[in-house]
Amino acid sequence: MNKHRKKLAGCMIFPSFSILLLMSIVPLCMLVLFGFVDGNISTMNGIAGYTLENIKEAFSSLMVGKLMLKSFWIAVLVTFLCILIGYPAAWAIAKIVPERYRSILVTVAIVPAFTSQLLLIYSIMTLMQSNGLVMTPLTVLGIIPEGTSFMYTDAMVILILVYEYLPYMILSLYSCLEKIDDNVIAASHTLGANRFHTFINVVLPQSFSGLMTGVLIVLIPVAGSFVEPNIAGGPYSMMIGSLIDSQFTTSLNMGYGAALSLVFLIVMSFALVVIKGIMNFADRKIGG
Amino acid sequence: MKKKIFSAMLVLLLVCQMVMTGCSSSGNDKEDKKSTGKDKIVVANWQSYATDAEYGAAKFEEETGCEVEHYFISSIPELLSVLQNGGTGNIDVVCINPLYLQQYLSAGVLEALDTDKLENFKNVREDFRSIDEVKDKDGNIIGVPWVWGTTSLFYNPDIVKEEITSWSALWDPKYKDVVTLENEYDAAIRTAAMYVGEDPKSPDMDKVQSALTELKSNVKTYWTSHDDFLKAYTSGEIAIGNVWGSIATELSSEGYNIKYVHPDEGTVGWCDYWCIVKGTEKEELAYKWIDYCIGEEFQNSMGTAKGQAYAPVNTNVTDKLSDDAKKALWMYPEAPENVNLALPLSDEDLKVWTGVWDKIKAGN
Repeated sequence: MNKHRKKLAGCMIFPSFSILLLMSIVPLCMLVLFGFVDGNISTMNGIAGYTLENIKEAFSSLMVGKLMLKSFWIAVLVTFLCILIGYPAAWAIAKIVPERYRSILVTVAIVPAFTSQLLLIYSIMTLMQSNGLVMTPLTVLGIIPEGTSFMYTDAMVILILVYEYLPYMILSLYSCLEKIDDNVIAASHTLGANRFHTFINVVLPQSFSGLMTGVLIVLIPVAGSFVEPNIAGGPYSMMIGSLIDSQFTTSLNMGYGAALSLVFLIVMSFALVVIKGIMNFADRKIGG
Repeated sequence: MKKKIFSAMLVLLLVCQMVMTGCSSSGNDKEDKKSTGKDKIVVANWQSYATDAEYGAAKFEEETGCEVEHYFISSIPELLSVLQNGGTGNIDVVCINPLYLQQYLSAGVLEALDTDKLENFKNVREDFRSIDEVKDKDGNIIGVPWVWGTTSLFYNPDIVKEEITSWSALWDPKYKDVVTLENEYDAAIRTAAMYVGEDPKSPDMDKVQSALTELKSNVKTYWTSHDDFLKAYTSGEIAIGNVWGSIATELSSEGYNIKYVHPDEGTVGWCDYWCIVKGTEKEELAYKWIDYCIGEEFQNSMGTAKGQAYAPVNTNVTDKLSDDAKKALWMYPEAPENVNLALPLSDEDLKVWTGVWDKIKAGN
């Protein structure tokens, strides 16, 4: 019986484990390997040799450092904005709106996540371009001078990123907020806590895991984004993702591209450990 | 991180492909050959790029009774890996830009050509057909030019109210925040080299770098794709910079006010070449195809096509074009003489050029 169950468990784990191995661990190992390759990889004459130069360059270059810092900063900002906008939205869907509308609202919130990334970018650009739907009324009302546009600026890139990743934040917060028992909140009020204290002492600690998931889901891909700054960014909007992308597509220097990815991966992992530490600390402070 | 894993997965896929295409695709090919009795040639080219138009392969099929199958290129590295891994024997003729031709040559997938077999070769623009970059070490010609164009200076006359004849206009503080450049190191560096009076083939990189850094304060955006450019231009965000001639043609034919000029300092150009894949069984047909593509009929149709016309390389055709057709191709009254073709760089130069471009884009 026990043996049989073990076998069954093995059968159940095997597919997901092999996918994980094939899609995650193997590529990661290849990334490490390719980080040491000299030059490009695609030609059959193949790997010209191995070098430490790529990694050295990626670690020591001031330009790379600045780009990483900038990308990280943008990611933090976007995550913060997503929380700022997403928390009230998730709360409203989970607790305020009548139950029968909930699933509709959740669907509405995640529809953008089903749409192609490029389509999202282009649609928001159409809205924001000069003489577009948003800018025209503002110029007509005299709020901004004619011909002003937010296109091709960092602000535009951040706006697009927030728009793209907001659904993930709302969803992960919603799933946690929904589970909070209404009676607990009512009890908090009865015991004399005002709305602020109820939020800090009751709601926030219980939704912390959702917040953490949201931060991870938003922060990591945003830090590595390259399509948005390439399409909607100005001359000063380059992010580390754009540099990595150009190593694979135009410079054809995959070794260096892989090394950059590797270094950024390490930097991001480190940053995430720090962020998680800070958040856990905050959690304990608030909870206690 | 997601994107990095994604790139890593792409590499993994590439490797898997290397292993697998060898057996699978050649197997399919044999079946294909059985199913169609006609003589067939497989041509690798970009999609919607002249040969798959009405006047291209279809006309060739009509005239020769052979069948032309297109293999649409999705990326340069992918094509090379297909050719190296069993694609040889599938693809017979391939369209390659000289930027990558030597890479293909050193990978051993291209054949030296006998230009005597091409009747129309002598009519092809000489400055394109005889460049060293499309010859092998022994001086044999590898590629035959068939289409070309420029990446030259455009401006929007509604915003730029003077006649522009020099690249220096891009650096003019008057045009702050309406300048654009293609996000591509080669054109950017060669353009800057022409502006500072250096040889675009091997400029003094310090001068180029400071010129491009200076230009950056004027730049609104570096455009990255066809759609990108159209969006920025039609919304009036950009008014002067460099662009492919084909995009200027498209905008102009759709009624937008755009001027496209070849500045006095010269212009950046590109030219695509046909090459024959080594070991092809359809050599004779491959020559026929190339000869057709540089022949007057095809070249004329290509140069006068509605919507998307491309500049012909056959000088007989260029001379005979009507004024309107010349204007549509931005070649009125004459095709530009001083064309700096985008040519491959040595590995060292490539590193320096892409490095400089990365630095300029990343800098503040």
